[in-house]
Amino acid sequence: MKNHWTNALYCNQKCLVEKLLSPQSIKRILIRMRIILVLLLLCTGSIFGTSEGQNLATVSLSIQNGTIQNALQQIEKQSGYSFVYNVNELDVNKSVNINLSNKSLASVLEVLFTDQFIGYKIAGKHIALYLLDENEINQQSRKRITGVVKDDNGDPIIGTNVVEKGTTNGTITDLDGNFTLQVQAKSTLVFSYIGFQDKEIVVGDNTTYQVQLTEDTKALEEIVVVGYGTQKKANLTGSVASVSTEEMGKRQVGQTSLALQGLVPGVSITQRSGQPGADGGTISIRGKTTLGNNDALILVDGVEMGINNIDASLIESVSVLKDAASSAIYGSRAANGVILITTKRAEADKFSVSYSGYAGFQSAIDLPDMVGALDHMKMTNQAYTNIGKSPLYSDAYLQEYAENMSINPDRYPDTDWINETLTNNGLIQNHFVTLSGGSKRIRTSANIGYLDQNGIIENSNFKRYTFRMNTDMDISKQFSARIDAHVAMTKRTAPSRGDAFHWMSRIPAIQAGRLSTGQWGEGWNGDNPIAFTNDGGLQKVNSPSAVLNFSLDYKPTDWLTIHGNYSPNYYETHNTSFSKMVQTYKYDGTPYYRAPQKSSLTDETNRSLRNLLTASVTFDKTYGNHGLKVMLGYQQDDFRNDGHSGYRENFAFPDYPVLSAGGEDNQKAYGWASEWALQSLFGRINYDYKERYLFEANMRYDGSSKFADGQKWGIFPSFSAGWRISEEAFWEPLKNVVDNFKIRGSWGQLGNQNIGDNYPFSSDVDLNLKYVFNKSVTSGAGITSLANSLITWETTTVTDLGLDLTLLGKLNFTADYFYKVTDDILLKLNVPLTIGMSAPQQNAGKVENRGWDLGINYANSIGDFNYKLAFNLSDVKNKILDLKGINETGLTVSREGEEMFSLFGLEAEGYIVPEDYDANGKYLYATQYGNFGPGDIKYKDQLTIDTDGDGIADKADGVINTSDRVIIGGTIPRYTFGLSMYGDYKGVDLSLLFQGVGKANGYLYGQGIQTFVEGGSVQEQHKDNWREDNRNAKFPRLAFNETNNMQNSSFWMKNAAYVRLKNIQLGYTVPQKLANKAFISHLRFYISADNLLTLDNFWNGFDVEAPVGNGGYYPQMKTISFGLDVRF
Amino acid sequence: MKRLLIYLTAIMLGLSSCEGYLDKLPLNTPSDQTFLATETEMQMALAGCYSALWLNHESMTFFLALDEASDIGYDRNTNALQSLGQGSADATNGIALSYWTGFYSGIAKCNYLLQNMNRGEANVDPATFAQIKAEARFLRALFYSYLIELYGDVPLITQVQSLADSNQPRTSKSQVADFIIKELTEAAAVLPATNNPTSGRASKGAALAIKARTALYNERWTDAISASSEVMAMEGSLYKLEDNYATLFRNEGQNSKEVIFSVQYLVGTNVHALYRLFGSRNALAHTNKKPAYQLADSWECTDGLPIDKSPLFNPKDPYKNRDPRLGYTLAVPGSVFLGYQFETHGDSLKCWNYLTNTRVNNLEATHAYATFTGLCWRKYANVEDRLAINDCEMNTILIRYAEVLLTYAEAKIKAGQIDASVLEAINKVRNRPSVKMPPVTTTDPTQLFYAVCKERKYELSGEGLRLFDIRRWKIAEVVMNQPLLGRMKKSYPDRAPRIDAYGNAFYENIPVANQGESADFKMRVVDKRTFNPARDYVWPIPYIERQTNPSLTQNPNYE
Repeated sequence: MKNHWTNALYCNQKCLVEKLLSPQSIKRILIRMRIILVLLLLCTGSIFGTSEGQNLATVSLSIQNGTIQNALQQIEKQSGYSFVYNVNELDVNKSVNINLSNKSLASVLEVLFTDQFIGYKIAGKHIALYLLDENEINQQSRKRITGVVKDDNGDPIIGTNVVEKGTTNGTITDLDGNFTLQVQAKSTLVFSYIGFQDKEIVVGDNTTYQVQLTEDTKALEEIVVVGYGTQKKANLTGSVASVSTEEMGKRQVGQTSLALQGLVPGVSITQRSGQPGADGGTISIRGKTTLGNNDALILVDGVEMGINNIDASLIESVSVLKDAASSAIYGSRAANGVILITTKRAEADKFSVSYSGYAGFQSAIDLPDMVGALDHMKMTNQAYTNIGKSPLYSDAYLQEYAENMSINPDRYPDTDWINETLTNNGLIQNHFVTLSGGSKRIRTSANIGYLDQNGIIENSNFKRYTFRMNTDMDISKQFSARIDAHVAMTKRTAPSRGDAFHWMSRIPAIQAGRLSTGQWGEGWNGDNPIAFTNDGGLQKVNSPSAVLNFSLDYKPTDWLTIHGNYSPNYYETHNTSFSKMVQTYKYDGTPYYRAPQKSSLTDETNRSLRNLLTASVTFDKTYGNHGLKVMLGYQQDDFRNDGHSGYRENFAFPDYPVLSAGGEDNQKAYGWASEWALQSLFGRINYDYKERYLFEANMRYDGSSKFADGQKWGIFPSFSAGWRISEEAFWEPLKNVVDNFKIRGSWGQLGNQNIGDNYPFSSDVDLNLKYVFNKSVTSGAGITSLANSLITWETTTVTDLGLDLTLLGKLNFTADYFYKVTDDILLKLNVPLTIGMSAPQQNAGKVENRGWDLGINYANSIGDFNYKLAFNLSDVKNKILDLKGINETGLTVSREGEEMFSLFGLEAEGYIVPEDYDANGKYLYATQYGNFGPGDIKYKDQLTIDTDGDGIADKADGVINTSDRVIIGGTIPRYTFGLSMYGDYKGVDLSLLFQGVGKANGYLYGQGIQTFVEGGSVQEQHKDNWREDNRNAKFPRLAFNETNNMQNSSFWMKNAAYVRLKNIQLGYTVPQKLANKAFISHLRFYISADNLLTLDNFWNGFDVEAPVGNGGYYPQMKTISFGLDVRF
Repeated sequence: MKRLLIYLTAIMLGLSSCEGYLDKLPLNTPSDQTFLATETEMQMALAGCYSALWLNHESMTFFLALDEASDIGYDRNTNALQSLGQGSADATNGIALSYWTGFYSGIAKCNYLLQNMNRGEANVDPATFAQIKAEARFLRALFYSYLIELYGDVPLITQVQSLADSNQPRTSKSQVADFIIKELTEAAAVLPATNNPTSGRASKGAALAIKARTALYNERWTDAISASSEVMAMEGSLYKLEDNYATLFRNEGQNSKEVIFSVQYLVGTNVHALYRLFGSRNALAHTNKKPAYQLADSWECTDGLPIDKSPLFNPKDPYKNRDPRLGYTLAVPGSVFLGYQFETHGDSLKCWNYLTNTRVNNLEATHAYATFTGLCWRKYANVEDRLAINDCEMNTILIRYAEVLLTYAEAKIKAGQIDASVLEAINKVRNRPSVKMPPVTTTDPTQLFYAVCKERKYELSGEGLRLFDIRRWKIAEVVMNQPLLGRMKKSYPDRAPRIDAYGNAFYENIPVANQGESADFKMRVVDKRTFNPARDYVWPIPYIERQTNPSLTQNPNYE
């Protein structure tokens, strides 16, 4: 992207040049004399002082609302020269405003006759003024050339400096990229524009030139957005990764969080659901530091916002602050890293309209394949028989079923629950329009975005309307202001029951879904996902939000900036959940179960207002070789939420899901409110010597309302330093190979107070403990949770060592090693249940994360073929150092000495085989669960008894039970990587993004992967179960209602490493000439596919990113879409 | 510019020193500092203590669920309760955890009220103050009475706990029993001698009844006799056996004089789902919790003889001539249940719907998840709930007068005080108009003890007491160490099973389907069960509890 913003001044000059060239506009020009003076450095205008007049006297002129004649009179008076001219050639009554002091006569005349073809000749004490004839102009200027300057995309570049090399003669391109300039023959023109490589052209015989400038990517990357400001990339001492909008724009995803997946080293994004509107990714930057909320802080133009609340098309750039040094300036909530998003802003003197849009289809990446009715019954019988029970279905019945299935499917159903529930089209479309334009003083960009995403189950949809208006105002030379408004509306619609995926992979095919009469079948005791996704009422979550951002900059001198910012953020959610009674029918058409029993409506509204106020002072000055930048700031941030909800049931008119349409008995009303506030003082000092030795220090002093008096405030410092070795003299010989080589290191501390509970220090009366006396409700109250008034900040200390390397100007390499320790982790540690109250938040844990990340990119071109490669790889190893000795025992646990959220269970050692029994039928190994037998999973009997008293267990106890559970694996992805490849050739472009995880574990349990869970069904893959003749089976023997195989164990854990072709996109940019015929400056079509291909070893039927669980979740989607980008 | 800087600094300092910006206190509820200052607040806190009675397993009141982990019942769902029944539970068992948590949470609410109610003592009428206190002590004792029966020794906590003093070791079961008996004795002295079961409130009789139960369970015969005698002294004026046994478990029986204390339900506030859990498939319920077929064979014939002895027993028509409580407790084939003819014979493809008076397809015969045992629980499955199968508001009886009579009898027998009052107490239960079973006449201590044991099974099955009975009589290792059976799908056995002295049925002489065999003409094995006497007589202490409190010991063989 061109950084047009910084070129406002040039653009303005260009307008003036244009006007100068038109003789009629002299009046207006004279009013702007002061600016013209500046301009004269670049542009000689049209006066040609000929010959001897170089040593003329100096004069001063001060004329307000005068005429040329007045000016000439004053000059005559001061210089002693007298003018001679033809009154037909020179309009002496032309009005003039001029203010010059002690200027040479020649330059005064130049100013006076700017843009008039007037020449002068000095003879003695006379100056003759005359109109230049055409020949004379041509002879003197020799050549008048015109041309147009465009970028690689064929877009005109406005404000390009065009200078005749070695002179001050030059101009600036206009709105359409055109320029006109008089130059010496055979001179060289230099074209320059910020963000593009300079280009020189030797003027030949032609008078018209088409100039193409190439973007200078290296130069572009030089400025990186950092906390409360920007920084030259070369001068960064912290670990900051930046992503351009180009890279992000490749992904056709509804949720912006996913657009970052695979692009940034050290940033791991995991998508656990494909539900429209809930299909965002969980972002974790350099691992998980705390046991609670690990979400990164996301700031959009300095204001905290949900990343998924903005449209990816709005984004200009993204910076990820990874180490403490970079993020410490955000102290209070930066412990999990910070993502800074900068939105696009308008350029001066350019009006543009652009549209980008795509439409596509989504389908599930993977779905389980359930068995049909006959297989279900046969396998059920097998499962009963295997454990010594009688078969459930007689052979006669199976025969009868098989014969009647096609004749009477109502009575003998064979329902494909998954296919019959997943009937929505998954259509996704996104449209984004930008109108931007402005003058020198005011620039505005208006962006309108629309996303519409259907799910794959009926009635699931997500819509997002985004409107953002970014306005920049230069009030005066010292004051500038920004006024931004972001108004968004998200609408999520889903069936009121969220458990469709749970039921569709559970209900046996022998249960009826939809009868031939169109009536709903029984499903599972009335839970019929086909019915309730179609006809069970809707949950609608509408969230309008408005974020305003007012900021004012005062720049009294060029080295001092005072910045103030106020941003109110208003957010509402309206959650209407209408649970509609669904009547199911028996095969004979008589009414059967109803689920739910009665229709009910919960209508809830939450309103929240957040006020963010920031003020800062920045001092930035260079003293010779010493660069110094000091920033001091203050910030306050407060939040309040108010909400209420109403409930009614028994809706006589189910088509009117409003509260008043419900029955009055048993209606309920609730209300609540909460608030919190943060206050901070912060400062930063940057110092550099010759931009070679770099140093930065940050300090933040944070206060939080979430802690009691005396515990509220925390200090979070950070320090970092860098050495640009490549700037040293001794590096000179290497410089043409290694252009840039920097090492850097940082140390810092960050605070975290981000716990769900706003008042953890306060012990409150719970007013929800009602009871019934005399058959009427009585309010109750009690203390149900422990409070902790000593609670205070959680602190993360991060040490980072990194290096940046550029080879041959094309290959960039960044590597970081980091070590993070989080102390005083805020968590609800288990407390003895005998206390009878829920656990309080405590500062109780200590966790370390150590890891590294690595980014390499390379860009080059061979002829017309341009290509780019980028690769990133990172790893983080997590370990819990202290949990006060309290180790969890569930499936995903946090235990001392282990990784957070590790999988905990028994170690599976294959299957029990008949040889494991002695002649008397006695099992020879440790007793397992329930009614176990050959074909069941065999567990390892861990050493749990210490016989010799040395504190180390050395003997197993012969029983498989709780004590035999061990950590079987971790859930935090390791070795996350991304590889993007891009190439374009003559308008055709192709990009591929591979993304993956090198090491991770996935775990499914329950009906997701086990058989007949709670009477459910089985999948096709379960046919490969253990039998005497199939001992190497994929699954244990079928068993009904037996718990042995359902224990948490390593058997159900799978390698969740993967490589995914996250995105592949093929685009075509219509050639400039063709597009221009339709008044289009840029036109590109593309076809794009997301999640097309995944290589993994995970359980069949589930995406490898499936959350640890029973598989009953909305699966991840693959998307194929077609898109269009057009600019006018 | 200097001035601007000064202003800016002033603003910043002004803001940062702005007192109160960071002082945010809860907006929803008061802090606990002033709580319990008025009678209203005390009554609210007391309601909070009562609300702990809503502890439940899958929407069945906590004590009712216990039968499904005993020899007479079965939880079809693969869950922690089923594991307890199967003898395959370990220390991470979810029910062992949730019941422990639930009872201690109730105890904590009582402790908080009892410890802090003196804050508002001056504002409350002394009699009311004393009664609130007595009700809280009653509830706390009640929660402990379940804790010791389920877990054995448990920490006895009578003060509000802080994190610092929370590492309490286990107190012996016997000491906790002493505490319960003492607390209930003192509460009974204060609580009003009234009986209004739908008031939901503890009464003198309730305190004495629970005291009697605890004393019996813990072999304090004297206490058991005296407490039950005190309740029996209130017979007539306050307590009385309900003439119609079936009424007790229907909505109209909620205010019966027989009910001493029940857990209260109300639609819109809190409900249970016993209709759905117990009811039949035809009647739109799920039959999730099922009685064991062995239970059906327990009841005597109307001649007072067990079915393997009685000439009145006809194997082909097994539910005829039987103690009426069989039919009141269970839905048996051939009876009317929830508006339908209940028939579980595999060939009974049609049945009568009495609600619409039509003949309909019989799901009990064809539905794969119709009751596995051929029977359903009938107590609490009320036809009125058929349109709101999850929203049942009938109160569930925690203790009723018949149990007190049988407690009295058992304690007297155990204390060696067999007299006419013992037989009178037993026969009162047997002789209610709707039951009318022949009186027990033996005075042989052993035979009389068996008679009480059997009577408890006949009278109280399905009411959550069986687990404690088979534990204290030490018969669990016999009755729980065998498969739980269902009926022959298309037949009945040609003879009665063996009935032991406790009224338990054993099927050595009757075909039971072996692995893979059809159950059409053999008893169906519904659940394989084992019972380890060295472990399973108490539940495990929750695993996580031993992590947080190292001074807790585990029950044997659980870890």
